Amino acid sequence: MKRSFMTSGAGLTPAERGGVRGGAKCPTGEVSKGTVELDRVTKRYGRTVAVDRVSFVIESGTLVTLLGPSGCGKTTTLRMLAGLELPSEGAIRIGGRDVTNVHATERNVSMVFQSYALFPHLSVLENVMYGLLTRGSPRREAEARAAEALALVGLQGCEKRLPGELSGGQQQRVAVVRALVLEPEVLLFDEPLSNLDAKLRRRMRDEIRELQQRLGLTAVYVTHDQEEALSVSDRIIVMDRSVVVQEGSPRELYEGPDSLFVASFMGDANLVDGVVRPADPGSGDFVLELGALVVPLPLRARAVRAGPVRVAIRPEAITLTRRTGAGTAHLEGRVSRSAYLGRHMEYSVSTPVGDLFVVSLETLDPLLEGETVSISLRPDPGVTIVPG
Amino acid sequence: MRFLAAMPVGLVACAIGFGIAPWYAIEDGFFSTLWVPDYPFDPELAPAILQALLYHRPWLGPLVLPLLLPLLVLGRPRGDRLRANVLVAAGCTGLFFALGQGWAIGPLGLTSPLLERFLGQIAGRQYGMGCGAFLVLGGFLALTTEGLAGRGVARSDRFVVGALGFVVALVMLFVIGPLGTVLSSAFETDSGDLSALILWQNLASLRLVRTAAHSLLLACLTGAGTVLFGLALALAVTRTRLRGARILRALSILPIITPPFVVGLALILAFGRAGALTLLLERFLGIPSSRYIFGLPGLVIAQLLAFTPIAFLILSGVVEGISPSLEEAAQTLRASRWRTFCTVTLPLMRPGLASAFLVGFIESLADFGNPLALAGSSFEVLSTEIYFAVAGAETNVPRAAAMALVLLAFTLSAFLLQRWWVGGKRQRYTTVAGKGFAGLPCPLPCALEIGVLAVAVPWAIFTFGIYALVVCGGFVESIGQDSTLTLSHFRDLFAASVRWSEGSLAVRWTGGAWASLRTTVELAAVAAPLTALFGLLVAYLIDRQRFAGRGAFELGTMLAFAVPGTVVGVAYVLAFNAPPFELTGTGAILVLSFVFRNMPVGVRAGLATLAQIDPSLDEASTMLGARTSTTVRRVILPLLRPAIVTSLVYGFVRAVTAVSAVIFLVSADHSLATTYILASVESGDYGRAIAYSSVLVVLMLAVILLVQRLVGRQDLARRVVA
Repeated sequence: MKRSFMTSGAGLTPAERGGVRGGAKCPTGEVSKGTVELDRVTKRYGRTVAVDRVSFVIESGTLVTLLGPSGCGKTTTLRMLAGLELPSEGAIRIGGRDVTNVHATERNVSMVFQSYALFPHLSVLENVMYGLLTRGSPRREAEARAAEALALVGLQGCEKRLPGELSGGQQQRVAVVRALVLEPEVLLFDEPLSNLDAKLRRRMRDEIRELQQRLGLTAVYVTHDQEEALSVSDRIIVMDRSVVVQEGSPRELYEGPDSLFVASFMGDANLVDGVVRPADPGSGDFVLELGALVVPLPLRARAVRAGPVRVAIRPEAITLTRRTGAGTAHLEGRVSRSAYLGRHMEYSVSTPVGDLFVVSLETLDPLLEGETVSISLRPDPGVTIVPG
Repeated sequence: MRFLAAMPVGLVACAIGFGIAPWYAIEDGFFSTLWVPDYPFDPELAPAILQALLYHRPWLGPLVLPLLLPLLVLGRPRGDRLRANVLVAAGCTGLFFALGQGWAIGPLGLTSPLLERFLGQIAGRQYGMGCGAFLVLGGFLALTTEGLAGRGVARSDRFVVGALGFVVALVMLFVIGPLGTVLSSAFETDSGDLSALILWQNLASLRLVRTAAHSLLLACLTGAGTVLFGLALALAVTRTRLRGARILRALSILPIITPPFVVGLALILAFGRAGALTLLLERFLGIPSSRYIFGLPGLVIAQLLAFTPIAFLILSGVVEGISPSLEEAAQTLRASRWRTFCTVTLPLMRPGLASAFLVGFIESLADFGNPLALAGSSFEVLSTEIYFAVAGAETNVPRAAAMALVLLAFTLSAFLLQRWWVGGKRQRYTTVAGKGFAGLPCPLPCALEIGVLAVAVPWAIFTFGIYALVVCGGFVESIGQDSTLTLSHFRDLFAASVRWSEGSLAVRWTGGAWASLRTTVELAAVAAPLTALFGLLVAYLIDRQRFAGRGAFELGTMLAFAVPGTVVGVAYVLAFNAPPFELTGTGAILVLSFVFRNMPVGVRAGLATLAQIDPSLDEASTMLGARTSTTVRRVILPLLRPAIVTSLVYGFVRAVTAVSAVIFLVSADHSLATTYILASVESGDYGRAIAYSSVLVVLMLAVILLVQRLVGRQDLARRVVA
């Protein structure tokens, strides 16, 4: 990396730049550059509420994903951060400055669009220079900085081409560079990879993550792809029907979903009815009964009460063993469908507690349809009690 | 310097308009420069401030107050509430006062008895507004929009609010306002009072009812006929093995480049009593010549020839828009070709057919040139009767206004019906998705294919024949009677002599048509860029901006499309022949009528192109720090280039070929090509008329082909109608 490009935070970790985990404030009380705060932000279109009292804090130098199904309000939230939509209620602060009613052109925020939105009549270099020129940089300097930024993502030599002459991945890189070159406080990504094929998507998401970490950028990333969210994020904010339903690190969300929605949206989950009972009288421990299967609780540090519960079980937390005889502590089932997917096997198993979907890495000696199996569980992580 | 930069543009315009520029219109025209020596100390040339102080027009004085008011808040920042409110107040006051005094005081003093009762007799009088007045009006409008933007209208976007303000003001002034004048004229008695009885008498008169019935009958026949022929041609081009689809497509630009009455003229030359074909038929088949071509049959044929290409353009779009996979699906479900056509293809086309019918209906009602040439006295229609009631021997303005209202009611209802039908979601069927392989269209049933070709091929040949007559007719002495080849018509029209005198080349334009051709081309060349600019601005506002009243805004601007030219002509004559907007007899009124009549072409071209430009490009530009005006200049305009070219070309061509509105507005100074031709027709000089027509057709064709060559677009014609 040469010259002034991204000098402000290049190569530093968030902590070094003053961002302190768990709170947006620096020791001095100053809010660090790039911190994003949403305070009960609501957006209404006529009668419909697109975003309902959404609050969160994004620390400087982290990449946070807004994840949710289409229509959950994540893109509207991002557009309000960008200044393309103004909130109906609530406040937005960026770097401690209240920007709630500040127009997009006045915010120090850049955005990478789902369609890339590269100007088709301008060359790659002119696209990247566009923002610099509108902000009053001299042409010569803008050209130099744009060329330098393009080199950063390996696009030197493409400067004179039109966007239509680039491949999807290259267009994606130009879009990122065009946003980056303005050295924004916050970089926004609106489903940036949804137009790429699966292989390229994986590579580009690693590139984006690498660039974000290398430059120490604050980034907000919208996607509906949970795998993408898990792989790039420092933190994930899950939204559903206009509200935030859960927030946490990728691992926290996958292993400890606190709602049915999060459990089934973040990967697959089997929903099974069970009963919680005290393990031994007086010990204070609990066990979970699923038919004939008994697993120890607590699975996670969580207050449980005895009684009927609903649990979500990850398909990879279930182990199937071929078995003929009857056992007391084991749940039995019949393999009703068996599919070979190259890297793993997928089974459907009919059991007394319901049909279970199971993923197994054992592909050399697969179970056959119609076989009777005994079922065991790895309770932590993999089994969660969900409310409702 | 900072002080100056913060000064709203409107204020500068106001100051120049009030203190420097001549307030009233200048007799010889602003660009004549004859007035410069006497300026500014002359009661006709002085700016408003001198008019008020020196030339006894004290009512102009108070304008200085709203002019000074904004100075109080200049130091405040853009978003400031007080600044915004003061600007709005000053702008509105100024607008109302400037317009009010213009209407209140005319060339004979106060214009209304009511005002005289309040103010008493006043000595002053004034004439039409000139450049100073328009600068002040524009300036106050700009101050108002600047203030409104400050108050948060349209997300505080000054560019958008300003553009909206100007578009709305111009549409009010030049579309809605004149139509309102027509309405009020329909109630006006000889003494200047208003009476509903007048309108009722006119509406209920047997003559008007009969004329309206004629118009409706003709419109229905033409509408149905154009759909039939248009559909046959569209199917022939897209679904049969007919070679020559390109020729048919080329034919489809003919109605745009042809002055509308030329077809009628050609029909007279072919089928009139002394027409070329009539004489042939008489000689060889013994069919006696008659006057059948003058009246309904001739009119229907002429309008079918003129407007079928439009139906063809619409319907070939419709036919191509039907996803072939739907027909393939029907066939895999074992439907025969007939069954597929009747149960899938035809029902899918129904909205398109209705739309094409209504467009043909509107065009027929609005057509002026063909009825003028062919209707004669036996079959009057509204458009020509309006003209005769304004310009004929028995002038009767309330009757003309009543007929204009009836005509307007017909076309507007058809227009609204068409919009509701085509624009409404309920009738929008699947169209080609544009992705992947969509399948092959099902071939037509055999009998249908034969039928389609049996209609399409003769039509094409007939059209060719008629246009061949137009092009060749000018080269013979007198079609039908004397077939000696001659260049005399062209010599009369376009003679020019070149002489070498005193070391320089002197050209003398001796032909009779040069003046009108030069005026036509000049005015059209002025109108075309304005048409394109205005139309595209409107398209941008409609497509890209959200603001209260957007639906009404869109309807208001597209309305101009549904207003027949004749009605526009009457309206402009009535609205602009008296101060404060006294434009009759100027070139400006012609340019304005071109701009506002053809603006929908620009709007449509703009909307079609904008629909293909991803709105996220605008947003990306915004995110990169560009203001709306920068985004428009650097992103939207370059991408709109095809639409700019289209609307420029058609703004020009349609201005050159316009007849109906301009025939009311031309003056001795500004004779136009089309009115010159019509005058030749009326005086029976068909040879000269046809020669001039063919020159116009060839000239327009050359313009279009040149632009197509330069821009490389094959489907220019498509964008105009569809």
